[in-house]
Amino acid sequence: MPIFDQGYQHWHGRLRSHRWAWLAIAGQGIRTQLRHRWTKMILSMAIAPALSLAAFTIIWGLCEQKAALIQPLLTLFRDLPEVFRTNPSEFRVPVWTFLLFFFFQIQRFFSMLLVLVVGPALISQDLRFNAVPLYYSRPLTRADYFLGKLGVIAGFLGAVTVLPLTLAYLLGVIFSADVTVIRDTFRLYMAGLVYSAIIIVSSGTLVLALSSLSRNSRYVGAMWVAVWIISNSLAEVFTHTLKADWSPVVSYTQNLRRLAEYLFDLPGAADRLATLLHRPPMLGLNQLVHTYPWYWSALALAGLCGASLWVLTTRVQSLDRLK
Amino acid sequence: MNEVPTAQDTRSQTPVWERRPRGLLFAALPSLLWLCLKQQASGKRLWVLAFLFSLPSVIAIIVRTMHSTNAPAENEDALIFSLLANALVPFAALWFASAMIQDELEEQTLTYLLVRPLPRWVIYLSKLAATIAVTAALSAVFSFMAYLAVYAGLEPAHPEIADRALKVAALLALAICAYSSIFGALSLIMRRSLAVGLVYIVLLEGIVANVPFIARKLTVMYYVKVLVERWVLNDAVQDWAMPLGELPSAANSVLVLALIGVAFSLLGAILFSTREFRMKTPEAS
Amino acid sequence: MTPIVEFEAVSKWYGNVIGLNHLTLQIPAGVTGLLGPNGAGKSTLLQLATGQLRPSQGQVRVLDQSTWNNAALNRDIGLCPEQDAFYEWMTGREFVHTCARLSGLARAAAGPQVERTIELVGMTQNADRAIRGYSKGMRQRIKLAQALVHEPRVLFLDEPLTGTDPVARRDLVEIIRGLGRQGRTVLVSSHVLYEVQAMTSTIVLLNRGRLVASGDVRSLRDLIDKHPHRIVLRSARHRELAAKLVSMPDVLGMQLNDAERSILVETRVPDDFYARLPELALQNGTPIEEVYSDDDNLEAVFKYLVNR
Repeated sequence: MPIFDQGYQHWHGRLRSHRWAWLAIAGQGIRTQLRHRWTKMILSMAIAPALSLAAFTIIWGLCEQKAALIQPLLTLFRDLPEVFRTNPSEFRVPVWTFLLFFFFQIQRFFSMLLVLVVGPALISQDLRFNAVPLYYSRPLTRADYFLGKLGVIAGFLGAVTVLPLTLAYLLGVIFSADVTVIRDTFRLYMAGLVYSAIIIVSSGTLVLALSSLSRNSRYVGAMWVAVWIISNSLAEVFTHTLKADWSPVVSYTQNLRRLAEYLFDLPGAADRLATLLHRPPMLGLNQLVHTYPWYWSALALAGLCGASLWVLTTRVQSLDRLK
Repeated sequence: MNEVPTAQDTRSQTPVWERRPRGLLFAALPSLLWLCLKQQASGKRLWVLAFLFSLPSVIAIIVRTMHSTNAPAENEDALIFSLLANALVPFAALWFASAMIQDELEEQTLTYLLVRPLPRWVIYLSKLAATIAVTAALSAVFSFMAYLAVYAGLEPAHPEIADRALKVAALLALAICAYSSIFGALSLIMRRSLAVGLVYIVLLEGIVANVPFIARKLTVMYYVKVLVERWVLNDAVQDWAMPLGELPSAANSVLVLALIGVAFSLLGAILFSTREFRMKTPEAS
Repeated sequence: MTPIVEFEAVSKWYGNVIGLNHLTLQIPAGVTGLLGPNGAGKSTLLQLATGQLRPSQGQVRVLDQSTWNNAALNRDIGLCPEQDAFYEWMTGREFVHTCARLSGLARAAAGPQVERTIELVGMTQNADRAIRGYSKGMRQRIKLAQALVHEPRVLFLDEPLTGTDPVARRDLVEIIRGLGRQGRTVLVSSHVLYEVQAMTSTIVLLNRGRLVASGDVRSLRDLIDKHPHRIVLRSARHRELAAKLVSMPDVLGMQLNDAERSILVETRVPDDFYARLPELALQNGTPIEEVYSDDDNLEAVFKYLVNR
């Protein structure tokens, strides 16, 4: 029998394509963050709105089918107009619109919280422990590094936005048992995807930029809180003092909300509902909708993204320029 | 390098370590306070906070430059009572107080304090005092500036504004005491005190405090608003759903805020005295 | 000898991980080396001894006082921690001065004492630079200075020589030895065995949270029955010498090295063996050019006790 060498053995496999290098960074970051209790807690709390959305889409689907299962529930709502009972699919688009809009309103809060828990340490800890050379000494570009880190944010935010949206949409389509549902609501599904992408990219680039500014992740967290909460307070102050139309543009979350109103066509859904019910728009609905152009918010968020990318490229240099 | 000096003092044959007095080291307290103050007052954090605290003044100047039709009292309400007192002060207290022990723990410099002959509760209370001093000073300076920005140069003049500004500075200092003691104790109970403190500020101080329900009496912001109405504005009613007849007196509100500060400071001191702080050394990692 | 540091059946665990396991130990005055592989529990032991941690079981006493939450005891304790952490914005002098004042030195006394300590560690020239600009060796010196400035009776030094250059290392070793000669108790934790051996022959050896051995290095070596002593003899006629040695009853084994003309002898009674060597050397035909022990040192003790 030959005696085999137990020492180092050279690996003869093939290296994976460089295209997916960022995925390794993202995967590692997600696995690391999932070990933390707080991350799991917030993800668990974010399940409730997702389950509610799924439940509502199922109920609505059964409504459209006029399923016997749902009739006892409908008898509780005696004031429902007759057109609702005879032709519920007329209300399809407004109902789906409001469901998705309010779902994203709630999930936006959880998204901000997730970014607060997951985001600050992404680059700040690498800077603190001088781990950046560990990345750049591999065949990784800066783009891979940033994409990988952004991928961590995208993973968590996608889990509370894209995933429940897709599941609820599929359930709603299935339980409607009507192909025309896809024709009427696919636009809303795409709007949800686009909105999720906006939340992920804007908050991801912003928190990564903040994370690159300090080696102390607690400071980064505080700066994120300042962007989230203080900018909102500032917008309210501007509204009360300057009484300017553009006041909400100062607030990061108000900008996101304005884009949601545009993407889901909330005013259109409100008008459609008013027409079907032969009454003025629902009380309080006017207060939900902002009047300034949506592209102000789009420009504000685009500017924020651009500034974040500039900060990132300045702060995290390539290997030969690291301190 | 010199030879190792002997432990015996040239004046006496008794080793130096046997001649030191026993009892609380009062000589150490000024140095400890000075160290804590320098830690809180140095670094970028103070500049960021100064920038945020300057926003009410800047916005007031912008508003007046744009010849807004707002009455000064409206600007005061929006900028000082809402933005400064409702948002910036709790945020500043959260940021400073949650970091006062956690930062030393992360930087691993806490060891140098723990191995000194200083009771742990003295260390904690000194850090808390320094934190409160720095944030209260910041809020006092910038609240004065905000009042100047809102009221300076107006006709007719408002001579009572100086008195009001002083009262607001004192009120904010009291609020900072309460908030800092709460968040300081919180930072000893959980690592993610920033996130928990944020939820506390948004939900309790931001929402519950504004809902006319008995639960609002559990919030710091309720008593701050009571003091604004009763003490700062001399029983003038604001649009806060807080009818004067149902409010506690100014003295009671001050007492409650002081009690909150004392209670949570004591809690923090006890937690700090009994908790272990394990320094992860490179070898142990 | 009255123990200065006592561990009485001390256990310390972190969740499910045991840091120290039923440790009973007494450390007398003088310099003692604390050795052990990574994760042995050395830092846990030092943190327990300095009152930073509370024992899960048992008692830790220094100068006959319990260490946990005993601020007054810290007057007599100095710690040079392992972690490379400072108030980076301070200068070296400010840092040592602050530590002196925090230790209770009055303002008038602190100034001269700080100067003496800074000079002792060889940092007078660089004392007014910010610590963030210091080299690794300078940082170690300043860290040692803050531990010494209040002239503690008991010193705990956790890896004090890490990152220092050979000159600094020699100076610091001499300082530590001087502290021992003064009658202070110094417990030095280190991985660098030959440096510990240069400071002291009294060691405490930990492995996996347990006490493996404590005492004088040579006494410990004698007690290790499993590994016979290894002694190397060099001779121009090493084979003839080997033929004479093999007849000795206390010689357990031999290895010949023709290239170096040496013999590695294994014996359980090295003193008896050494006693016979002069006579052997005087005999015709077997001159002995060199004799040394291959393993009568700290490294061997460490290796035999930790790797068994």
